[in-house]
Amino acid sequence: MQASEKEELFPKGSDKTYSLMGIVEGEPLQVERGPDNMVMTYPHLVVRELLLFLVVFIVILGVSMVFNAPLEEPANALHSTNPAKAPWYFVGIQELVSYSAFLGGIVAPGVIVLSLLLLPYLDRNPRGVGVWFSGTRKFGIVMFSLFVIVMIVLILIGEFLRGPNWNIYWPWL
Amino acid sequence: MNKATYSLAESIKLLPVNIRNSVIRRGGGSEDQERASVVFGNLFLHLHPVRVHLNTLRLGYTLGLGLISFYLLVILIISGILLMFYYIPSIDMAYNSMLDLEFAVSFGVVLRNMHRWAAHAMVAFVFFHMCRVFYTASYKSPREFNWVVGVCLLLLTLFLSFTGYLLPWDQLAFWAITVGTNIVTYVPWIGDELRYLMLGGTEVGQMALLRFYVLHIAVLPMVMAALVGVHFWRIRKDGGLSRPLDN
Amino acid sequence: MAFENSSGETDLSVETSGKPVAENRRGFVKKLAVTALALGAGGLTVQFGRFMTPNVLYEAAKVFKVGKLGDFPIGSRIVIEGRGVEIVRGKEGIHAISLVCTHLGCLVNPVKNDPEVGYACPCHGSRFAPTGKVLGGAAPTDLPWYEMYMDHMGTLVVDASTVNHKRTKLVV
Ligand code: HEM
Ligand code: FES
Repeated sequence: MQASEKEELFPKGSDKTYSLMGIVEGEPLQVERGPDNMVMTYPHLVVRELLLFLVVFIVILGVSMVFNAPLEEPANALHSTNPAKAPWYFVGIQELVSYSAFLGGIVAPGVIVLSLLLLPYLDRNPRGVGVWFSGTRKFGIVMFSLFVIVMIVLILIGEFLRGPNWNIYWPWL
Repeated sequence: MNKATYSLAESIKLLPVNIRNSVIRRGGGSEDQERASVVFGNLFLHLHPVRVHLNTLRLGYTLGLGLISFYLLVILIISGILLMFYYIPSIDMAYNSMLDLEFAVSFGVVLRNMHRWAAHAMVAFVFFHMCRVFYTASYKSPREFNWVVGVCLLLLTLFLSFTGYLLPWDQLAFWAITVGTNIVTYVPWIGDELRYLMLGGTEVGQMALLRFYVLHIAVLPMVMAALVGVHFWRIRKDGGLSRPLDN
Repeated sequence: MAFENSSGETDLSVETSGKPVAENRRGFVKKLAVTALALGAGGLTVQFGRFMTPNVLYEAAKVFKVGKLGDFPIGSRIVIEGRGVEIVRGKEGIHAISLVCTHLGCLVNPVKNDPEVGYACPCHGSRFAPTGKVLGGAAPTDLPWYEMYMDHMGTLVVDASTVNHKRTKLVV
């Protein structure tokens, strides 16, 4: 009822490219505020993006001029390398696999991927959006940080503390 | 209305201007309209809205991590295509291709290094980007689906790295893939069949190399490109980057 | 429900009773279409799986000759390179044991200076007794023994496609 009354306050202008679709009760979002805090994409964003590309490219090129990618002996199905390590990002999983192939190699990655996929549907409270480490979601932040830390620690163990025969060794000893 | 002259001499005189105008469309008008037309008149920029919120520019907010991941992907695609000119996916030739790239091809070693280091960096930066999205709660409504797309991108990144790891056909590659594909056999019920399918046989051999190669240079990159497109498109449809409420 | 076109005439509808029947019919057609689509997609997936599964492998044969009895003196342990087996000959007989680690498929190294440990895996540190029994590490099962026999020429043959579950030694 009220809506139709108000509608007449906003007659449709023939020179407007938009029309008012409906009136809703509540605080208007844009009272006396123009399209604030908005800037033109070009040049502001585009220039920054191009600059970032330059930085990334130069860093990668620089690193590639100094450090060579590893290349070992040709593949030999007759002799396992000792120790045989996966690439670093899988070494954490390999560490788990060395305790149990099924739990570490199938169940753990499966659980991780599934929880990541479901996360936004389980944590639906809109608190803290757009704020780094918002204090309103301590639980989530602690849990996720635990996951990140465990992954990193496993990778560090697998990468640096595992020697021949997958025995623990201390690199500084 | 003045009579247009379509004489050849006139056309030649106007050639530079006309060619330029046919390629780049410029809406005249105010400065802002001009700038707007730069964005939506360009295929590569039009994924952007014409205006963005100031928060989007804050490097301290996104840390540029998603964009860095994307740039690494671009570097990987370009360097990867160049490597393909010299790489032969055969168990007799693959390792020699690596040596050729290192010793016989101009800039071969730099390209191989770039491809390798960018791949490592990409895994790390995609992971950091995910952490940024988590710690800024940017996966919440209406961005749930883009988070899901993101998780798929993370998995794709890992698969791409894994398939690429076999290609040099050195000891590192061979045994990492042997171990990696044997993990698959622990999948309940269909583990052995799955490994057979991945390797195209029972051992890491020629069929496995070819399969990994095809996945690495054709199948996975195409899926990746499509999903990155969806990812970017969704950022815009979800109202731009997340930001704290204005007040 | 009758369909009407712009001129207001009733469309050629074979409608007989009322709305529910038409709705049911539409529902049925929809179900039919969805079922056909699902069957088609499922069939396609299965056939794709068949295409991706090679029927012929150019891999080393699983049944292979390893040599004459004289090549394996009593008390010897000889690795057959490229086949992933070791031929062990003791006083009671001879057997072929797999060197492929049951954990994730690395090749185990024979250990010769330790009476307890027969094999050690370099990848994740599994250890096996000389009989193949798991002693420790992540390996879930023992190293299998393969069937072994002597052909009519007197050559020893290992059949790596058949596991010798009873672990019987070939008495010669
Ligand atoms: C190939 C990998 C990926 C690429 C190239 C990529 C690229 C991007 C880019 C360029 C942005 C814009 C903001 C920024 O630069 O940070 C973005 C935002 C976003 N990404 Fe990714 N991303 C990738 C993987 C992921 C992953 C693994 C996730 C999460 C699991 C994810 C979830 C998101 C979400 C939810 C946004 C919106 C963030 C916001 O609105 O603040 N992306 N992505
Ligand atoms: S492969 Fe032998 S212990 Fe893992």
